[in-house]
Amino acid sequence: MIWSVRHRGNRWRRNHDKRWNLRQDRRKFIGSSGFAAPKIPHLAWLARHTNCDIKKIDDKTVELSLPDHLDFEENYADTVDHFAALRKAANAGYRIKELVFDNIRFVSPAAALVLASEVDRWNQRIGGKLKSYDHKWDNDIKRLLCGMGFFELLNIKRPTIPADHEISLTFLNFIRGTSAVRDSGKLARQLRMNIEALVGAEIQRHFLFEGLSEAITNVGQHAYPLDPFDISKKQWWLSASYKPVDQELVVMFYDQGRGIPNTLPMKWASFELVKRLFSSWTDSQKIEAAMEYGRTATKRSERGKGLQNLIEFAKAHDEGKLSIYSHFGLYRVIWSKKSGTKTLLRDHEHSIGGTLIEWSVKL
Amino acid sequence: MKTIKIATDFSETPLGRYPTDGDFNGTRFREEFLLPALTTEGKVAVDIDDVEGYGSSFLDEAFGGLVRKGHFTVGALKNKLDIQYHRPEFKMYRDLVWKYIDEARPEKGK
Repeated sequence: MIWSVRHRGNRWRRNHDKRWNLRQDRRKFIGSSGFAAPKIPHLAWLARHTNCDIKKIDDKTVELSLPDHLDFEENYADTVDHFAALRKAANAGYRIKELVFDNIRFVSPAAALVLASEVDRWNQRIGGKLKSYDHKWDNDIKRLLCGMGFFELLNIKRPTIPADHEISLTFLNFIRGTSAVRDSGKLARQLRMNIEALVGAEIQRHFLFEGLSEAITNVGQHAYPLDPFDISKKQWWLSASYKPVDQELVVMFYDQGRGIPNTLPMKWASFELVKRLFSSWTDSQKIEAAMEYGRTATKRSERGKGLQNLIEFAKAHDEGKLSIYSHFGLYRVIWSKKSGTKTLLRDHEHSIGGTLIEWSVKL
Repeated sequence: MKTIKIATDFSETPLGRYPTDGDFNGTRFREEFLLPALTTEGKVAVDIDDVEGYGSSFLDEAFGGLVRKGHFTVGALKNKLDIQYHRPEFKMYRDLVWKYIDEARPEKGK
């Protein structure tokens, strides 16, 4: 009798452990993407759902080729699909033999930062360096990605850039922060100092700090779920680029959290509830609503003053633009001293896998 | 009158609302610097110059929190608190401090 009870107990425990592990695998794999996946993601499924060029090397190893244009403006779906594939492959435990950059002819600053975050996350999760080989890379791409710190991420020796090479766009080395960093403000200040060294002039530091401090606070308070199995550890990535010809400075901040649309509270006694019930409230409209003064995900009266700060850095210049990509939505404010403010809302079929905030200003 | 200079007495990069946001958050500034000074001194001047900048979360929690937590009324703070700046770009932060104090309402039970 005693043996029997013990035996049943062990069997129950084994089944329980099996169910628990399966549940955790599924949780890790689905993550914050917009669609569910099979428990064990087959390569064919990965390729079909992300429209990516994924070459199978063996059962657990793949090779992923990146598209010729990595850009959220002109090639959003393709760009996002490849980042999603990278994240899903990492979550599923696939080892990526090589990340192929050979086809890339253009990479926007924002896309480069999101790619850096995915590679960085892959390195943390799989516990090794993601490999790539730069011998066939376009020279411009090589120089740009070198500036952002890709060569360290990809375990490649930094290339030597010819001194006479024309510099049309420069990226700053990306900065990674987490909510565990006790003085994130210093990281924001470090970026500002790097920007000033790059452009050779002082920038609107107070407005930049306002925007960055609220973006960082938002990550700590709302962006990530309270999930002990989530390895993302409330991380964020920050960088900037400068184009001397146009005197255009772009500052980017990215987190891989749930996204603003998923953390926005409803006003229960309003039309928004009806819209959400009938799924007619788009993500871009939710981001716009989040920019309202006093709207907060914490339901506390003092909260909800922060997101409006984001626009101030753009408005501190003659021409500026704030773009917030979050989940499926894009909310953009274009500011010009001559023509005032224009707002643009756009929704996509694929999620950006978090929130990307991009400030673009003319110095 | 006691003077607290945020840049030298607290941090040049104050950020966030709660301790989970980092060491130099608005709650800590209110509880460890502002509140002791306001309760022991007749009048307190806060010098807001020379920091990297201020996010709304920090300013609202540090100053608006004085009213929300029931430590002071808006009227009492107008008599006791002086927000000082010398560089013109910090005027907007002085205005924001008073805006958040004016908007704050005591929480239930405070």
